[in-house]
Amino acid sequence: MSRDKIVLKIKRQEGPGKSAKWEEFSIPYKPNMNIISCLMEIQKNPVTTQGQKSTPVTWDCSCLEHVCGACSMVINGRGQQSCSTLVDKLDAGTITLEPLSKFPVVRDLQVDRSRLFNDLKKAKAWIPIDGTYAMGPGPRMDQETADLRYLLSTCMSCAVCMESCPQYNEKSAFIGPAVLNQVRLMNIHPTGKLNQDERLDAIMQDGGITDCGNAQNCVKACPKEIPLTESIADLGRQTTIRGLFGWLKS
Amino acid sequence: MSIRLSNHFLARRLHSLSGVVPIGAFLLEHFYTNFHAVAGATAFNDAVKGIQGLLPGVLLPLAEAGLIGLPILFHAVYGLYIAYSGKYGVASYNPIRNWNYVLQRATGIILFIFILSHVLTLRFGVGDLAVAHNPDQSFSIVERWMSQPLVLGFYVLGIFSAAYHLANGLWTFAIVWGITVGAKSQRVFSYACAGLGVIVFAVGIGAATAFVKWVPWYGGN
Repeated sequence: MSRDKIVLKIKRQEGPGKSAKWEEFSIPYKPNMNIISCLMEIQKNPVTTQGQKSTPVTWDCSCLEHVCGACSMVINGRGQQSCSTLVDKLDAGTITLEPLSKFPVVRDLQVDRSRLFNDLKKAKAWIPIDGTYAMGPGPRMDQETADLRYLLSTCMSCAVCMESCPQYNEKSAFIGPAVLNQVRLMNIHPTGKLNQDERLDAIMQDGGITDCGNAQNCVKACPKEIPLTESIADLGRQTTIRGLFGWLKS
Repeated sequence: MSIRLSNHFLARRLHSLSGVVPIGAFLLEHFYTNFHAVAGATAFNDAVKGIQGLLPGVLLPLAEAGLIGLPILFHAVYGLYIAYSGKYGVASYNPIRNWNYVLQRATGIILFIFILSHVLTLRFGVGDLAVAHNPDQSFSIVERWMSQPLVLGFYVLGIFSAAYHLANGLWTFAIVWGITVGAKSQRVFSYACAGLGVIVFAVGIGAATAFVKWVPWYGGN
């Protein structure tokens, strides 16, 4: 959309627990801008459209190429990456920027995603291979599994699925689609399989697999187009089998 | 490695299972019995009598309470808690599924109120005679209730909620238990569930309106 200037309405917050307020900034239009370059433009001269002197807006970002997931924020009401959201592709008119709503705000558009990191730890979303001696090459992986794992592994913990999920909120302990997807990713790895029951037990606790409400927003919101709902249903199957027959092993 | 099933997992899965068996199965049986009203007052009264004669003595009320009452109570109360733990009004990324998510919880709350009043009036006889204890007058008792437009409207809402809640619940049941894993199987099964919901709704409405005088398939004289 063509425009002569870019107007951004940004939800500002000075620090954790402080009250939020909206501020509007106007910057000259240049072609091929993304949201981050708009924010950098504001940094140069943080004066609102009302002419009031303000502070530079803070945000998180790292890779700037849609891979790291750090720069997620709510852009025009939807969770997206600010690096890969291009101004020219947005509708003309004011662009609204808000921090992700499911995490505590650190400042402005920065949020504290510790909950996500802790949940990854809870779900044991890794494959323990460290030992005191070389254990040789791992088992081979078939091509179909490798292809699926590649897709599942593109998750960048950007938290956009959590932003879209009605079940992920301060009232529930739900670990969210991304973490569940990691469990599936590790469980279908030939070496990861060795610890699959530990991960299943972890997601069969409060806030685990059963707290999905099947609104299926996540799969539409995911910027990497990961089949999150299939991962959740697949874990549904794995936990059904473990729940029905696992206790009979003891 | 042995497993200790967490109470949370157990409660959630029991909630999912109880919705299908026994509650969903009972709903189908209940609508089937009620549909006898279309065949006339005698057929309906005989159907009620038949159910009352299924088990002797105290076994029937015990079975009612244990196999239907308790599961519904558990499903309803735990369901209210689940509905409370959601955060509504997230930007709609997947409108159809999102509406289903919200409607499943809304119909659940409607059904909580509807079933409570339905059981108190028709089963226990609050406000009129109890259908179960007066099989000879069953048809006329229900007819008296349905002759009140507000009650009829309330029943249309209740029947819609029940049919919808069962159909959508069956769809999510298949995902929860890991039966329909792929997106395609989920889509195909959604058509099947929608079909079931329409049929259950039609049968339920057909039965309820058979007690209404101005309806062509009125079952009375």
